[in-house]
Amino acid sequence: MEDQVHDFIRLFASIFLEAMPFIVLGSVIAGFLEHFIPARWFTKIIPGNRPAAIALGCLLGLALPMCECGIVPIMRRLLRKGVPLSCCVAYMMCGPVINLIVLSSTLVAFAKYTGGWQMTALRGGLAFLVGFVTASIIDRMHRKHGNELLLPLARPGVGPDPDAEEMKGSFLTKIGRVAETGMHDFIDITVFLTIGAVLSALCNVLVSKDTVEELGNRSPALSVLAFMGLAIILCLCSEADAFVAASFSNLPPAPKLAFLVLGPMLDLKLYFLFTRVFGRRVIWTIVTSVIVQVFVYSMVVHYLMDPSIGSVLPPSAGD
Amino acid sequence: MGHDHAAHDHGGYYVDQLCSLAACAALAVISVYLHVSGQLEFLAPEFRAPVLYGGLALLVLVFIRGVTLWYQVGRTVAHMHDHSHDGHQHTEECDHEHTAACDHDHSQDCGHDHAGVPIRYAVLVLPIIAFPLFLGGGGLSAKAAIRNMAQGATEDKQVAAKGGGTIALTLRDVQQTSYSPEKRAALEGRKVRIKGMFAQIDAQRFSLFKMRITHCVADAIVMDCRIISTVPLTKYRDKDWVSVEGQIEFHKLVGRDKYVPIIRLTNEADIDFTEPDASEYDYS
Repeated sequence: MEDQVHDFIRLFASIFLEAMPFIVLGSVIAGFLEHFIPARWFTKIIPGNRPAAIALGCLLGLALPMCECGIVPIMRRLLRKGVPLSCCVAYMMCGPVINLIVLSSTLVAFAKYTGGWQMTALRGGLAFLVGFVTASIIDRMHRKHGNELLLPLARPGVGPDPDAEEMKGSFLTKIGRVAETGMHDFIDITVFLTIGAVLSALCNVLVSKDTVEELGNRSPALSVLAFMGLAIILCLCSEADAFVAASFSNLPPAPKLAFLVLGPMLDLKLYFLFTRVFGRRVIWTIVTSVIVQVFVYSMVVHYLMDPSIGSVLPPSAGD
Repeated sequence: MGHDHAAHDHGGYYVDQLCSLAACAALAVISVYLHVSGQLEFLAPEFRAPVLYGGLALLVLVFIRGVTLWYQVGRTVAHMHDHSHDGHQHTEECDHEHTAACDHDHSQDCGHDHAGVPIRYAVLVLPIIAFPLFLGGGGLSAKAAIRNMAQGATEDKQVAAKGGGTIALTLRDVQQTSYSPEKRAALEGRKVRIKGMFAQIDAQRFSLFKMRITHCVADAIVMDCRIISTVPLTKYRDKDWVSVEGQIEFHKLVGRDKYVPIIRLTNEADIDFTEPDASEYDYS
């Protein structure tokens, strides 16, 4: 029992402290967005055509890389600036995967195995597809239900100049407001990070990765589902999860892809962070859409792709 | 969405702001302290500096917010002491509310939830108290490693000994070798020396292990090598650092396409205590 408590504290601390600097960064950026960037800038750069806007949101991570924790406070402020909900959802889903840092780390993790490039391309491509479809569904919901889908803290302002008050004041006054907004967002997000990290650490203590792997050997569908469950429980950073997935070297690519695509989009910690932005209807739509799509696409990969991709060492591979 | 200004309690607002300042300051100080005292072993080296920078950035935020809040309170006190405006004297019989001078406009949604929610500070007490008091040094327990080891039975086989001298290997070398049929065939039967932490899986099974982490201990993978010994191993306890010398074999797990490295000991001199590595973790 003492060992389990000891392990729990360490796991909780590792998840919490790894995420915390990025939440500070995201909160400070969110503060600057709120008080220095007027809403009309965003309405100018976002394409009028909705599918194009969603596609832009999916690829925004290439210009603004941010981990899944730091994205949430930024996204809340972007929503208040009038950036369409669908674009924000697309960025939230895809930003933590489709960025140069994560794609590079995926390539490095699978470099020793056959088809490292294919695994990286599949991860990026499937993430784009899941993000695009999910954001499109959310867009249709938003056209029907409007801003009641969002928490009041995330709703855009009204009127021709909705952020006139936030933009007022001297530079020092605005810096003070940035600090107030940043601190508020940091506290708000960190509370739910704490809850998610506690649950993840508990699951880590109780569930063995080897058990999940063994479960996965029984059938392709069970394998994919088991690794999707593992991704939700472990709450890993999107830069590190590629190395964890690569370590299951005797498994085909489908469950590993499910792990790599689902994890940055949905895990225990992220679920609680979503509750600070979205209403319940949006959260469950996102959860359902992501889980169903990741499962279906992973099964398609299982039946269409070479099972040795991302698994087998090339004959001449060194250490 | 508008704000009900009449119902807004500035006293409650300031208490909430002070609690926010205290919570942020505490988390910032703890982050800096853990980094400076070297207690971040459970994070990969490249992720320790961000903890320090995050803590320092948070301290800057706390300082700026503290100064603006102090100034805000000062303006509030000054306003409350200004007893006249437009020829009107403020007395207790006035029929309008004497509001403090806010530095934000309550006439529209200002993007903050001003209601103090004490429960969120109760949640934050957990990391604030747990980390400085209970973290300490040391890595994950041997039980955590054993739980994540491949536990199933292995197919029994006889492996002929190969000639050549003893090869010194790391647990990482052994793990990588177990993935490759060619490397397994080349190494199997050779005499090797491996260093790691001892773990007793059960009454009959033992293992050498080390945890390999990429970012943090939540993504830790166990690198292990089972020990089959004809000599008693009772003097070794979990997480004792030992050096083991013996014939290496790779046995397939029953029902799975996975190979477990095994080292055979036949002599008491083949295993002994050794100097621990600089860290319990292998960072890669």
